[in-house]
Amino acid sequence: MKRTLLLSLCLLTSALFAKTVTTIDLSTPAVGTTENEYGDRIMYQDVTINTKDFKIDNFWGKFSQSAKNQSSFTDIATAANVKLTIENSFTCKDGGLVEEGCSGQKPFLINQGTLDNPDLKLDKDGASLPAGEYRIPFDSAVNYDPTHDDAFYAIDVYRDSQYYKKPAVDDSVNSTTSKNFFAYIKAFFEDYFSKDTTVYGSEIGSPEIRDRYMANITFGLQKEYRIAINDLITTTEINSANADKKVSLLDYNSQIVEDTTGCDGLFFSYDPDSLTCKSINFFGLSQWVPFINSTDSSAEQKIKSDSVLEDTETTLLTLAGKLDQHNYIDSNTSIDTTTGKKTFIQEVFKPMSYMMGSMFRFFFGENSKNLTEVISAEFNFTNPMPLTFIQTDGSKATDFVYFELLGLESVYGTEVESCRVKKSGFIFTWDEKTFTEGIPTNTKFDMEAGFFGTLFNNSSEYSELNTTEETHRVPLVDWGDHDIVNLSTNDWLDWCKRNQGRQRKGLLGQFIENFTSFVLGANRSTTYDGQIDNLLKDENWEVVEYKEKVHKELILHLKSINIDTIDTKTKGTTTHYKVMKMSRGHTK
Amino acid sequence: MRNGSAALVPLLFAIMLLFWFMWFLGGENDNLHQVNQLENLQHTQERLIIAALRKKQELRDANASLSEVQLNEKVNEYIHNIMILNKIDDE
Repeated sequence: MKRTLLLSLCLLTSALFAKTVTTIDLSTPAVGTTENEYGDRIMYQDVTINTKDFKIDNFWGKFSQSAKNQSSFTDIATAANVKLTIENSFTCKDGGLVEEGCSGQKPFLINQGTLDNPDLKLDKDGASLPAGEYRIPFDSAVNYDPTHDDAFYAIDVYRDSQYYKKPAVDDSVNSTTSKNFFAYIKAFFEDYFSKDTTVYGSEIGSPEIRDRYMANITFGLQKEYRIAINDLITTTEINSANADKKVSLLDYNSQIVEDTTGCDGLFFSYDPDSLTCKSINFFGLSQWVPFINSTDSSAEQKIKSDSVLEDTETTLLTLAGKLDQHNYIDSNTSIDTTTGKKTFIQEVFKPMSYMMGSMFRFFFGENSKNLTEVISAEFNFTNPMPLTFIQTDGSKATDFVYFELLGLESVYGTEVESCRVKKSGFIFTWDEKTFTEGIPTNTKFDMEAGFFGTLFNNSSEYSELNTTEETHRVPLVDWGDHDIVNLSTNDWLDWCKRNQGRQRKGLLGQFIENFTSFVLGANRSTTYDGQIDNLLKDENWEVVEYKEKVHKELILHLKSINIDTIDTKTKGTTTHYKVMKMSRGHTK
Repeated sequence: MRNGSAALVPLLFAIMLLFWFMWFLGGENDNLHQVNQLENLQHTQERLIIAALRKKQELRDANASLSEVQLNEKVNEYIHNIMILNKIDDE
């Protein structure tokens, strides 16, 4: 009896003094896999919040017999089914954008069949990439063709001025109070990354289209102008996106004009610290940059650069850097002691041995020309950023393709433009010629010229070269047939390329070179290039001015992913939550 | 004033009514109070559902090495703390 009483007392007090604790049950795995019409991953999750031993103190109980001082509820629960929309964007919070300004779609377009192209599954040495990985180059809008299966293109999608959230009027602390979008986005990049953003000079202003494109990469397409499956895409027009949800291809170019001092020169559109400029600076230290003889310092170098491509590269590099919390530009540059400037460290740029056939189109457009050298700089990212591309059949959006950005490659190719050469030697043999790419010429060298020419003829010295025979008949004397070596424009240009740096060796260097070639005269080259080198050296030709254009190309190293693999854990995604069904109690 | 004035009767009635009303109110308000408190709790729970999911994502973004179990523990803690602030849970 006593024991029962004690036990019941204990039970009563434990019930009365049991702590109120609220728990949440998230352990149920997210169920349902699907994607919405804009290509975002949709998931559903059940959530239950449960409050145990909830006590209510009743003030009026003091005044009434029928009321208790305290009542307790053992189990109060709310269950909900929540829809998770996972977008491949992660910068929106930082941009302070309203939700409508952000989405997971990026302004990148690929044609159907692109992922089946075997060329894109090779690395830069031509070896196979791991399964599911691709290297997809950027191609400009003017080259677009619905049949191209080897590139991605930039698209122009309207933005309703949703570039960034305007700061409050009295918000003087916020550093991003800049009035225009570009200043904002620049500040944004600088905060996380570096001063590597390419920015138009303020007096020129930045075209609306550029703001739009970069905002679309950074924040994703604006919600209202997102592309749904079967939406029209006008691939026959460029830069004509409008508020009526018209989507077109996008292109804008800018040209850098600089003098021989590198990036200190006159820029129309580039920050001297920009990636392009640093690269050019690097080239300046090697033979890659257009070589111009010091006697002709007034000549301008022109480096044509596609700024859509620049912006794509800079923006993606910045976003990836932000995601990895790592400044990729800083880690790949060093201070050059001779110029005091930041330059890319030499190891960054490596020759590219494998080029796919369409590479020429990327560099020059449909009419392919001569690329003399190709080198690339590789950046590999730690956290692959998810990117949603839009697939098209040329007229409408057919599907969404999901990638992770493993890295990017910045490719530079040089195209020879012209070469000016001069013959020095004895006073009366002065001559000067200019060879321009695309203009065929034929320069003849008579190998048996001169009085003793026929006697000292050594045809093995030009055995590899294009030789013809000509009969020289001077009145009274028959000199017999002469061997004539023909050099074309390309021969000259190739020779210029190889020998452009020769002047830098100075007099002593040249003397030593001439001396050795004289001593080793019998041991002459048997290669085509070597024989041209020797021939033109013997004839005392040298390079005065060698002009090349540097072209740039961007290759994204991507891994194709299934939408099922994207979830709330995926780095670089933003998740939106929406309660689909809510009920009281434990039932869902 | 005369003794035993009938005018006091309604006054006494009024006082009695007041006491009855207090008694009645005490009982009924207990019910109302409970309903109100329960409603408040349910609303708080409803509001916490999205907040909890956001918190979980935030925790995951801040520290990717946390396991699912650890994350759930931390979210539980967070919800419990919010309930303490709302004077629902005991510390």
